[in-house]
Parts: sequence; structure tokens; C-alpha cells
Amino acid sequence: MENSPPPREEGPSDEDLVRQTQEGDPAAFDVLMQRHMPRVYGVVYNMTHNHADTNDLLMETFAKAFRSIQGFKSDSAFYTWIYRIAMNQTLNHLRRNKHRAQVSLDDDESDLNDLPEFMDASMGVDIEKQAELQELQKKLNESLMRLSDEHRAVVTLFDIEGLSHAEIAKTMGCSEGTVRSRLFYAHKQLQKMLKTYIKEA
Amino acid sequence: MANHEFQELRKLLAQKRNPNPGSEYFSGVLVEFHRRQRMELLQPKLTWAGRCNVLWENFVESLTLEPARALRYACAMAFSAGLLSLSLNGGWMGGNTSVASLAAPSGAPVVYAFEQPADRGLLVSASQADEVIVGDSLAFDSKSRYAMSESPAMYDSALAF
Repeated sequence: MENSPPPREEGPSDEDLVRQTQEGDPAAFDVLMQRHMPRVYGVVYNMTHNHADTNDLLMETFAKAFRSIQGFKSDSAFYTWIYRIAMNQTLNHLRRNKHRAQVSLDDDESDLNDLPEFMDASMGVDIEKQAELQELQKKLNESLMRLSDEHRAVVTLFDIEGLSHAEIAKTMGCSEGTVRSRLFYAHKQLQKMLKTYIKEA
Repeated sequence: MANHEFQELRKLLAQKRNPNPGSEYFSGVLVEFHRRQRMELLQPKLTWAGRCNVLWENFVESLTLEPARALRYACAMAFSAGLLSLSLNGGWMGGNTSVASLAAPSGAPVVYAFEQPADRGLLVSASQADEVIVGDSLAFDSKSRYAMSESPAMYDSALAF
């Protein structure tokens, strides 16, 4: 299973849009936002499992990116830069709100499923399969939340977002060796927690 | 971990779904982002204390993720603290100087009060450079004071016009 960066978008490249923003065109930043928001949302949501927090962090991430865009050098991809900002904001948020980590995941998920925009299009097709999938999602979320923030971050970026070790190292501001060892440890932990599901798969 | 188990785990993780809020939600985020940007523009510019606070926040944030960046912020903070201390002590003006530059109508002569180390007072009219009043016996304190049209706008007994 090979990891790959986000698919190339149509239209102007990220580099061009960044340059236009730096030259004073805020509309170019809007395009960058529209392009990267869904993936940044995914990264942050996988770290928090809370839509309201994700919403706030998403806003803070892009506000910070807009303020700092003059200092962005195109020696790295825009998406690794924005992931880095999102991850910094999220890890700081999680550290500040440690006590809130005890909140039940069930509550968050049930709230989300009530919102029409979060409804799964395939809902109602196969009730039994849906129930199984929901159970699996719940178990995956619980297992991920039991990892430390840093371990959850590397699993999110590697296994769910598909970033390479080098990109994760850039995003997290650590060495590739650290990324590999964190991933190894996190996978071992997850394997223990998801033993039953791995056998079934 | 055996390789096949690792692959199975990755397959399992690949099945993890994120809630997909849809394009309406993301359009809403963009609108809210623009609103916040406008609000930010309307807010007054950061004071020195505000700038130091931002530097501090960035420093704390970078401590955990990137030590090299933390060092840069530490240097910037030390430099800012030095500048702040200089500006508070009036270090670059060669003395213990307090300048009262309170808002006065444009064109009105403004008298600035300087506090000299040797307790010598010096009153300068900003609109007429040649009108310099030196008061030997004036006991100055650190209060700001100014006068409009040669009469004191804020009476201070210590100044004793």
C-alpha cells in the first residue's frame, strides 16, 4: 500500500496561488482554502473527533496561515505547511483541554449523525452492513483516541491521509526516524486493540 | 509485527470514514473566515504587550514541535524585552525623560514637559521652536501635562504656571 500526496488539482498550482496571495490577492487564498479545507478538516477531525472543535481549529489554522503566508517559502509543498499549522494548533488545543478528553465518543458521533450534512448517502441500503460499519467506526475511533496525541497524529497522517514518512517529519517538525518509531509503536498498540477486527478482516 | 498483520491493520484503518460535511459547510467556513478577517482589520493594532504575547504563544507552541524555531522566538523575545525596557527607561534619549504627547487639537501649541535627571524642568512649545521656557525651581513628577494656547489645559499644582 503506497502513500501518495493529495491528487493534483485543476487550475493554477498551489505555488502560483501562494505567490498571488503574497502579492496581495486575497482571492487566491480563497482558492487555496477551498482546495485544502476538506483534507485539513479530516486531519483535525481524526485528532479531536469533535466537530465543533474541528470547526474552530479549521478557522484558526487558515487565519494563521493567512497571517504567515508572507513568510512561506516554496521549498516545501503548501499542503504540508498547512497540515503543520493545523497539527500545531490541534496538539496545543488537545493539551489545553486534556480534561475534555474524557467526554464520550458516543455523544459526539450521535450528534454528528443527526446533522443532515453528515448523513451517509448509502444509509439505508443494507441496515445490517451499516450497523457493522458503524460498530467498526466506533471501535476505530475509540482505539485511535486511546493513543497519545503524537502517536495518533502520525497514524492519521500516514494511514488515513496517506502522507509519506518524510512529509510527516516535515509536518510534525521531527526526524523521519522518530516518525517511523512512533508509527511502529502506534501500530503495535492498534493491533492489540483491534485484534478481533483484524482477524475478521 | 508480521507483515501481513501490518497490511491488515492498514486495510482496517483505510476503512475509517470521516464525516463529510459537504460543500455547503465549507462555503460557510469561508464566509465566516472573511467575516473574522474583517473584524481583525477593524481591531486596533497590537500594542507592545500584545506583540510580546503573540511571540510568547508562538514560542510555547514551537517548544514542543521544533526546538530550532523555539530558539528563534526566544531570541526575538529577548530582543523585544530589551527594546521595551529601553523605551520604558528612555535609555536612548540620554536621560530620565517623560514626554507628554496627549492628544491636542492640530495647530494648537503644545507644551511638552521633560523631566531631567537634575530636577530641571524644560518646557517646549511644539509650534514655536524658539519659545523655550526653562524652570529651575519646578518640581516635576512623571505625570503628563500639556498646555493649549499658552494656558494650561490640565492644571497641576506641581507645575505652578
